Amino acid sequence: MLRLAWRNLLRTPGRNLATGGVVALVVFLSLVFLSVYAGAFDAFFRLLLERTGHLVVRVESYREKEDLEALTFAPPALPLPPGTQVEGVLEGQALVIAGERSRAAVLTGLEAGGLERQRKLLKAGRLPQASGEALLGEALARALKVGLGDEVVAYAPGGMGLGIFPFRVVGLLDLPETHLEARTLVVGLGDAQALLFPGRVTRLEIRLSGIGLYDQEPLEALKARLKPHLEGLTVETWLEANPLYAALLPLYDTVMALYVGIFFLLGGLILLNALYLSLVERVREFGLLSALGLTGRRVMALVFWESLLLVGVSALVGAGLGLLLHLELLDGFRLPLPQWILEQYREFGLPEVLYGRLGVKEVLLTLGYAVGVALLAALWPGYLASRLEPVEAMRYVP
Amino acid sequence: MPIVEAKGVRKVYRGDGVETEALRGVDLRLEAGEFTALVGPSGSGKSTLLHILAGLDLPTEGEVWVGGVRLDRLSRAERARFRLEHVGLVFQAYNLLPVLTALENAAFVLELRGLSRPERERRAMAALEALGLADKAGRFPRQLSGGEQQRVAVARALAAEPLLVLADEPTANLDSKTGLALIERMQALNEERGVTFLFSTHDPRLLAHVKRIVRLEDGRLVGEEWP
Repeated sequence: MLRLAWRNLLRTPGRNLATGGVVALVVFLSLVFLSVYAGAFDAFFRLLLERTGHLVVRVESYREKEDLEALTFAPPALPLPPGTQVEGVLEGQALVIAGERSRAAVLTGLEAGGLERQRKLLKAGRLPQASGEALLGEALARALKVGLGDEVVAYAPGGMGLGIFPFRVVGLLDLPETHLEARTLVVGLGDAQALLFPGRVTRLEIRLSGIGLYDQEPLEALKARLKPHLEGLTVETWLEANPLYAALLPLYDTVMALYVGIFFLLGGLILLNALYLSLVERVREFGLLSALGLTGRRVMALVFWESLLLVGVSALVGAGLGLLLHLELLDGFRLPLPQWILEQYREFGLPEVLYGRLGVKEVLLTLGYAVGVALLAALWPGYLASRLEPVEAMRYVP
Repeated sequence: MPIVEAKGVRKVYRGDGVETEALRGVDLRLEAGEFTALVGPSGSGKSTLLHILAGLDLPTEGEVWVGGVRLDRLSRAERARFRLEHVGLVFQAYNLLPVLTALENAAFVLELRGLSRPERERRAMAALEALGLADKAGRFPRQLSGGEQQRVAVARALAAEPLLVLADEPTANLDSKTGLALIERMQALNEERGVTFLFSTHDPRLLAHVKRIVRLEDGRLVGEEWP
């Protein structure tokens, strides 16, 4: 039966080559799409993770608190596994003054590691290396009409700190979100504490090594270990700290399945057309098969085999090509999109260079769709073939 | 016990409000080893009777027994399985699967029965040899003449070693010489192996080779001869 199915496919090489080509293209596009899609998804969440750290410690109910004093805390000693990085961050409101101009800004005090992470956002200048040096959002610098080397004064009265602190602008930041860029002042943690609240932070960022991007189990385990040491404080995983973005995560599978489903729906219609044409051309042959003793079920199986073989071979070719391109995407790629769309990506904070990712799940999903489409497309022609009356079918004139 | 027994078989075709009675109460018995021709003018019901005896169609009335099994009581799938196991069929045209070689065509029914490849090829090759086609076993139908294709179809029927071979005008598309040669081959197989044949024909020259002639007219058996 398998040999008969295979040879039947070879009878109309042009049509089956075209149909197989479409199926191969669908599989190829699906794998490339999934690789790029996963790459973009990963980039987005990696960015989020990088900004937040794996775990974040804040004061309890911090979302309901506005007062800086209520939001700050003295970093406690924590039992962390070796290799873990803990960085304090102090964030507060300040008025930034330059000559006669002033703007409200969010002052962020970072430790050395945090400052280093600002490097890729650096548009001009360098990172702060000493006390009294600051990074300014480019839009904020424009509003204040200051540039590199100019002096600004941060004014934040009412705290436990000095309330006023002069900074020299040593670098300008290009942030994805322009509205944030117009309100960003980044300084060393020591300076921020001197200005706002000595010895205190608004959050602790904990970064672990060797944890997969979406691996939440070790984070939950560490959270449980830390809890007894965090009186009046709360610890969240990076996804809990970003609930809006975390809500996107379950959509990943749905969107992936939906897009690939649309690709395969189109491929399936072309396959259905090819199988139906093949049936119409071979009505007499199906009649002969039935007359020789093939039951309707076996006639149907023949049509299914033909469909599965056509799709199987095409899917393997498409998968091979798709995986080859994926290997290229693994090393990083720039989205081949118009500049205005790339701008939108940047608004979301996505890096311009993405890295493809294909897991077993994605490959199985694609091949599963291919097999599913092969079976579905063969269902109707197979049913029709199985119901043919042998005598009438053998008299059929196409 | 007869190999074939038709009792009061009637067949009425209904279409567009018109009823056509193709068979009007046919009674026929065929004993094992018979080599019988079914003759009659076009439209006399020869093909309809053969189709009913093969289980390809059902009678409107009457009983059809083949090899002790009542065919008209079987389901469509059961009749298909019965044909596969017990009936060899040869048609007037379009007998072979074009994508299979002569050997593969001859072995096809055995393949459907699930025989191992060596066994089915051995039996198919023996059938092809008996019909003088051993040297053309690897050829596809398009590479064979009309007569050779019909012989392959007979080989397929014989390789399966059925109870009965039913042939619907097997020589109609062949020239008289080729047709006669085919009938002689079939006759030889009937005599050597005792295979029961029933075939319909228009060709009076072939009737000299049969053991029995059954005449059919207007859907009725009108006479029998034993030449």
